[in-house]
Amino acid sequence: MTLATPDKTLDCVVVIGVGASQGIGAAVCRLFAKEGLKVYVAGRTFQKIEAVAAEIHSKGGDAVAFRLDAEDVKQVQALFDTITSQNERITAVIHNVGGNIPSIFLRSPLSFFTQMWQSTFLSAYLVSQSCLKIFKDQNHGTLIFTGASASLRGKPFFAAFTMGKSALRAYALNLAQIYKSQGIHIAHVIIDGMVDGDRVNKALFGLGRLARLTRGTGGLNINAIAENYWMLYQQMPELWTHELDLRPYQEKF
Amino acid sequence: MLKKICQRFQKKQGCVVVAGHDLQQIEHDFVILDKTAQFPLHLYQVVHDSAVQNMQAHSINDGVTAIHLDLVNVDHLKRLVNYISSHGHTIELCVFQPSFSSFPNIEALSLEEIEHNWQTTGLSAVSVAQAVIKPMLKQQRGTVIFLGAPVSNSTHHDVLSQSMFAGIRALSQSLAREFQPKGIHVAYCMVEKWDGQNQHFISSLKQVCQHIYQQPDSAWSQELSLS
Repeated sequence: MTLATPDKTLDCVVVIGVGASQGIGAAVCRLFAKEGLKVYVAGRTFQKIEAVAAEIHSKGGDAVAFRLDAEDVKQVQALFDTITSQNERITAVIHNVGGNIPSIFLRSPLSFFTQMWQSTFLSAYLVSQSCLKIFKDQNHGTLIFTGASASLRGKPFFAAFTMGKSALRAYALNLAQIYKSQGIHIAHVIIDGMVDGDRVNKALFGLGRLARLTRGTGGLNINAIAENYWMLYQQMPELWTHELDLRPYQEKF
Repeated sequence: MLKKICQRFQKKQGCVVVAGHDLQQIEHDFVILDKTAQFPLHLYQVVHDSAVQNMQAHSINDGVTAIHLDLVNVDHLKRLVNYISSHGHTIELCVFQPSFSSFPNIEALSLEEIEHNWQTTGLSAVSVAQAVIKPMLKQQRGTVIFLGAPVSNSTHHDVLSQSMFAGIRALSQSLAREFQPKGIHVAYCMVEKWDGQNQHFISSLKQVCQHIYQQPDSAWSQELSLS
């Protein structure tokens, strides 16, 4: 772990919901580190976040792996308390939590719906409530939420996922309006298609990769997605984007 | 035994289930007519009460039965469906009313309050939909109307509540796409502000529900707003 020198405030980004090395969260971590920010790599599986942090270190970047269950309010608060106690300035927080799990509506227990709501919406709510206090004190900060096709459209077999993602979208867009006058940039990114990452490629013993390749363009490239997060981070307050949709050029929508 | 056999072959009468949180007025003003517009459907006024251990039912009059149950208790919902069936009714229309409570300062909410908000909105919507769609599929017809509020920039609802309504709207879309081809009409109806004590409001809402229920299947609405 790299600590900031006491007399200098270090800018850092917190990426929450980092999993596989070939995923959106990891790609965002790598790009923000390459651009010179210290990166807090937060996720549930320590081996995965350690691998992402180690890769950043190997390329001369600065990263800290932080094991975190984003649905636990105490753990979320502890993450932000840890960072602020080290004289570091959080300039961006990326929320990238919540996987897409299909289910048959009439056979899904209520606990499944609650579990999906907690991962897609509640985690975002907890993260935002903790980081917005810091951003308000700083009069500065960028908060980006990762959305999905389900943020826009409710489809059969994805009722649980679409409930959480749609709630998140409404929340993000409302927050953006509330906080923009306080120097806080809030954006919601809709990943509208299959992602060329491990979550899809390794699904169903590799059949996910075949499904992705049938889409013509091969899905959304994770590094291309990360470039868009970086663009949002760099935007000047005079002209902010609050919602950005991303899809391959041949994706139907 | 004989009673059960008679019930099985008895012609069933249609009914409306209105399930939610603030429904005191509906027993007087929520008379929905059947598709021929000749006969009133029996009304089940199902009010959420997280404190009840068992479903409680009592007849208000010949046309209305009041039920108290926990809307996120699957066993209570199963008992409700069995109760309706055992009284010779089939569910033609279900209207779900989420809690419209609003919190002035969401930053001060505890985790328990946020989870309670989810239970009285999105989770209740799922629970009620699962209970009523199953019998509707058997009869290959039925209408489910989810009430909610506009999902953004509402002056009447806080940011958290608007998010919950967005979740119900998405649920409604998902179910419409899944179950409309099977004959179940699913619609989301946005009301700017819930005014459950206002007779005119309930009466106007009833008219809209009546209209959606009677829409021919070649022109079904999936979403509409009232303000």
